[in-house]
Amino acid sequence: MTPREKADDLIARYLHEAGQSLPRGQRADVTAELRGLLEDSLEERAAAAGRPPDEELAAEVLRAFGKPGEVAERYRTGPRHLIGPELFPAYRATLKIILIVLAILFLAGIALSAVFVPERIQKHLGIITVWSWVENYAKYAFLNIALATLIFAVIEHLKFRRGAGAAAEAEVWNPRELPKIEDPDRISAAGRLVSIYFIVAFFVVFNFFPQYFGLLFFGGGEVRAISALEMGYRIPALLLNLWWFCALALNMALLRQGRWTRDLRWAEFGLGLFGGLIIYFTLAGSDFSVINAEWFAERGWERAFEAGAETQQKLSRLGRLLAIPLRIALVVAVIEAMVRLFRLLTRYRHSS
Amino acid sequence: MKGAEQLSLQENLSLEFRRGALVLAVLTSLREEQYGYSLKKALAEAGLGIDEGTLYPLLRRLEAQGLLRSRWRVEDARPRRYYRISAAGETLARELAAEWRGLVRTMERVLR
Repeated sequence: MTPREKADDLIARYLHEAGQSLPRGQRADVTAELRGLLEDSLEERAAAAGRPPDEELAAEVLRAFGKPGEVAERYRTGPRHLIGPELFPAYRATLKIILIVLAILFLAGIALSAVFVPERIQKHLGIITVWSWVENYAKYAFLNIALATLIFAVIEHLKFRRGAGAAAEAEVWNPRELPKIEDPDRISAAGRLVSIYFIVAFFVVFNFFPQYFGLLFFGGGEVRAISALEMGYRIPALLLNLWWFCALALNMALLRQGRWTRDLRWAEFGLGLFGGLIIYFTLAGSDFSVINAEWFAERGWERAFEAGAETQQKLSRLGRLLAIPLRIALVVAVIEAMVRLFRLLTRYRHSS
Repeated sequence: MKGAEQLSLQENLSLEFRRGALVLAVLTSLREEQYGYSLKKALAEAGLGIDEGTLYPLLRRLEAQGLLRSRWRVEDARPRRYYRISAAGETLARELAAEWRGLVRTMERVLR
């Protein structure tokens, strides 16, 4: 290799290294420009040194330019973070809520195990059982945190892509449009993001892990799930997925608007009615009579219900018990719809 | 130790000054089409030495903001990216120049 070739080789290695740290779309263009600039610098340095370009002069030029990663970093446009400072408080709040909700679910699961399968807990009670609870909690917490991070990263990415438009909006910002201190139409971005997280999380569990959409038991070092389907719930899957999709769209629209508007309130009202309808269909279609003595025996829980006349009575009571959450949800949905309608008819009367 | 800290603080503040002035200097210099290296030399000759790592990415950013236009030209068998000020850049340069002159006058009064 001639001295000139060695110098060129060093520059080529430098450009390759810098290119690795550049976004694919910018890579060819920036490295082509950098090559020209480096070669010009090298030639000038060689002229000043009074000798043809060589590896040592090339090294001097590259040293002056800076490390390849640093040079690439300066050329990069766009965010260098997964979740920016604007979304970070909401992200942290979501993680906190996830960890708390999971802890509650776990404790409830342990309590259910203690009622239905006390012997398993008694048999294994000790440091190993406690460790298995901690291990399971950590596993589910990790999965949920990963999902939340993914969702926030996608939102951050979408936000950046419409960044140019947002900057233009910022220029014509009008202080008179600042929300009132007591503003019922103000939205909490954190709250909306938390909602989006739970919508996506439930959607994923319902569609991809239906076996976990129900009750979870933790005991004896294993997770045992009884799905809603197994318990006799008949949820109209298509309608529920459609509802989640609409709820997601509403939350995204709210984030975009930054506040409630009359149209969005109507959409919320419609979504509430739709949700009520889904609950009604679930209630009408569900059949809790599948839970009988055999059902318990299949799961190795025959001891929970001893044979006898009392058993049938207990089981029918259990069936009614399973319908209660649905009935409560239906009543809540109806009341909520009425409150929303009242608010729409009174608050937005003048703005039409 | 304190002396070194003082020096680094001074360096940082000087850098801030120069950074603010650099955009105006670049926009004004690019009323004539130039490529990165020739611009660097022109600025250095005018007394505004600036390292490559700052200047070249700045040209890209100004172009992305619509203040500069660029095109590739092959010269001496070497492709080079030439930059020139855009109409929006020209408007901004005029405004910044007026701002700069006003600031110099103000600072002269303050420092007197």
